[in-house]
Amino acid sequence: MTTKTLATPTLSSAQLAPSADGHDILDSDHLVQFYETDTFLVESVSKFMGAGLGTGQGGIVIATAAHREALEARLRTQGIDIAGVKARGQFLSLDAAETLSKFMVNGSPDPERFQKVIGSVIARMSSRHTGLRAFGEMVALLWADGSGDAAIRLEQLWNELAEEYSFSLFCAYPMNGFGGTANGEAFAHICHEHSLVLPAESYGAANRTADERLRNIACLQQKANSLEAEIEKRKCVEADLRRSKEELTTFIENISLGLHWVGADGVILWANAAEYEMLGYTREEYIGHSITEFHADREVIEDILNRLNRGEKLHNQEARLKCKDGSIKTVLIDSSVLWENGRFVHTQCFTRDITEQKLAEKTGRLYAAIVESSEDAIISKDLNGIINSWNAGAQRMFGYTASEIIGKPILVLIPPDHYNEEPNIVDRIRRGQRIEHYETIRRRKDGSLIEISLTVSPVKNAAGQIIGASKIVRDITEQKRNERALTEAHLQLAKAKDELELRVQERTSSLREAITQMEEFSYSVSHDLRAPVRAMRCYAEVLLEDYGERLDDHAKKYLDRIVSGGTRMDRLIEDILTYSRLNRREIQLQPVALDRLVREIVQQYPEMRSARAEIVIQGKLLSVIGHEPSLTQAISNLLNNAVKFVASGVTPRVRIRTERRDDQVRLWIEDNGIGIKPEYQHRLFGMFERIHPEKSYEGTGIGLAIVRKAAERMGGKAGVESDGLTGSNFWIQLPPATNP
Amino acid sequence: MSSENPTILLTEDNENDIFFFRRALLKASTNFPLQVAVDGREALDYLSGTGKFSDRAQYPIPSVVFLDLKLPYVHGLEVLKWIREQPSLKNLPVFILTSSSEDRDRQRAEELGAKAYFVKPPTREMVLEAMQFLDEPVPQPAALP
Repeated sequence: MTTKTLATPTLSSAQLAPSADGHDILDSDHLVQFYETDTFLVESVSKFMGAGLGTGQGGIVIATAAHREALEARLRTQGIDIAGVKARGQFLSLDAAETLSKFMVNGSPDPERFQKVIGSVIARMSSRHTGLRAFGEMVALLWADGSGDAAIRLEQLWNELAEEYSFSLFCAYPMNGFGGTANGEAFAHICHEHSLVLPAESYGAANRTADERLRNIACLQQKANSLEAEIEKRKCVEADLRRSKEELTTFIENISLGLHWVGADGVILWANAAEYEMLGYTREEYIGHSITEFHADREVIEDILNRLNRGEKLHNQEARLKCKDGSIKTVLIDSSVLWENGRFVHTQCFTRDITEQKLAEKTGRLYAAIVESSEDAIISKDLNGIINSWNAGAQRMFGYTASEIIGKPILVLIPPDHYNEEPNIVDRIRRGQRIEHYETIRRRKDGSLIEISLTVSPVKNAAGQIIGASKIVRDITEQKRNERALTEAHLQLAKAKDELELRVQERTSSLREAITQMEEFSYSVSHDLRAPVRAMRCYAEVLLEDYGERLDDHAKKYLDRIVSGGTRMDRLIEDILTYSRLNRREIQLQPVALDRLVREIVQQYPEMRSARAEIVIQGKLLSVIGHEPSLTQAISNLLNNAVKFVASGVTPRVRIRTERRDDQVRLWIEDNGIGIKPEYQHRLFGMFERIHPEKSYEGTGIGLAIVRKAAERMGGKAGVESDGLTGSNFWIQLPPATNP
Repeated sequence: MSSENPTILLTEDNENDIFFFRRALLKASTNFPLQVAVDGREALDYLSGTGKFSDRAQYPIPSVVFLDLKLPYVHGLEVLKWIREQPSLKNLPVFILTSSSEDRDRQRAEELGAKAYFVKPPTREMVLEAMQFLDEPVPQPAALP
């Protein structure tokens, strides 16, 4: 490619850059014109096309509608008869976009279709005319679309076509399409596809001298250099800016202060993580929603929005926000509106969570109320022993008002003989220890002393340092008085107990003496009392035996009466003695084989012999724990009764059996006697109780009392079942022997 | 205890009971000589042959003793205990004849080796039972010296 001399006969103010000289273009030239303004492009193309048409060459324009119209208008001013050249087939004007669409396939020019659409036109035009000039803007359209590769491919297809046909091609690209360093390579590539490159109009006047051009190039080089430097600098600044922005974004997103923007319509436009996370929402659940949704009090948010709309700035506006979990957070809001030319752009809100602070305030007030209403005195002091708080309880207890005592040393309350306690207390508090329920004496304002129980705890500041102590003082004067009274009562009680024990001992010993006397008495009775009775009876018998023949029947009957009276008296004494013996004798309990014992008793008594009575022992009787002599006595009595109390003429039938009953063994002695009516049964086991008249049935009325007493002494009981008609079933019940 | 005329010693302070004992002996057809000590001390004197009982011809060693318990001066059980302590008397059969039916008395008597325990009044049966303990058959009644 040779350097062309670019010359323009007339220069307009816009024609500052060299343009294609209509006459110097070779047939095979494929030139590219960069341009900055359409005016310059149209001027440049019209010269190129006008020169060809003027010399009878063919011309093809494939451009945008605007460029084609402007070009034709310009050519007319050059004296070209557009209608004429078109009519003669010398000039062809095609729409760039429409033509392009005919051969583009999948975003790339298809060679075959290009050949069919463009190749055929070029072939026809070049065969009819000597010389052909073409202006095409399809590559510029592709380039502007961002399809740089397609544009370059299309340039190559044009070049291939140029090898086949002789024509010169004028391409044009707007210079502003190549802004940015990234386009440098593509720009070079495009230039490479052309045999002639024409710079845009700012390059300067077309008719420069070579020296001027060199100078101009040097200037451009300098400008390019400084631009590159500028770009580098900008890149750094941009990077800095980007980093700052990132830092700021990170800072804002992570700041613990909640931030948000709300639009004029109340919709949240933006919020940082601190804001939505404080309330437990995700970004999506918060941003894009109306701010009113998140306020617990509708009137508060309405008031806030109204005031912001009026241009007010809000400071420490308290509000209550709804959290996702349903809880409420109390916040303080600072907010103002960003205005732009009187237009509400968005609010700028800062939200601080003061829920815990509010709670702490509330708790603090509660604690204060508790302290103030406490019956106990609650006092705090610093480590120097200076009182710095004093509740109503303290006033009641000590008599000082808060204003009188605050600032005074705690020693005011301590009687002089207890001064030594304070250093010890302070020492322990300094070591962080608590003193609990320390009982001591304190002094009231009026000088009187009170007994108190003291609990002292260290008070720490926010940093955890011990700065003083709180004291809870309880008046235990009353309690102490009660304790002393109680102790006294205990002493009295102990004394009374001792006295009582002494008295019990005395009583016991006199009782023991009485028992001994009683034993002596009964022993004497058994000897001395029975002796005269026996004498009377025996002498009466002697009389009957020795003198009976000489006595008449009356005398004998009287003597009989004396004998039976004496006998009965003796029996009575004997039974009473037995009963009293049961009461006082020491009994040792041990297993008793009831079966053997009962059989022995039955054998022993003449009344039980089979001739007189029918005794049946059913099965083997179970063994019991008892005292054999007492048991013998009881069973004998029951058996005696069983055979005795029968209607006259009836043979006594007695059945003896045992059974398990209430964890004990019950011995049944069942007879066919006269029975005992239920209404009398409760009297049966009493002393001297007789149910049946004496003359019918002999007895002392002590026998069953002995049975019951014996059973009870052995840890058992005795009883009777009878309907009063069909005999009586007497029983004795005792603990079972382990090996029956 | 062998003797031609086995003597019975009754220790009894109650005259009535002495009378009834004699009747019981009579009823049992026993004519053995009966000696009576009226209290515990006399019983001891008799058995040891001291005081007024030093004449053994008049007051021979008894073949059997009936002993009341509640006796003046020395209790019957004390007398029994003393008898058991005397080597020459340790085989002497002793029968308790008392109005006491106390267990403790029975028990003590048994421990001290009484042959039997009878509760008053004395009967023919008691006498016959006691006679079984004599070594020799019951002699026929003989004239008292």
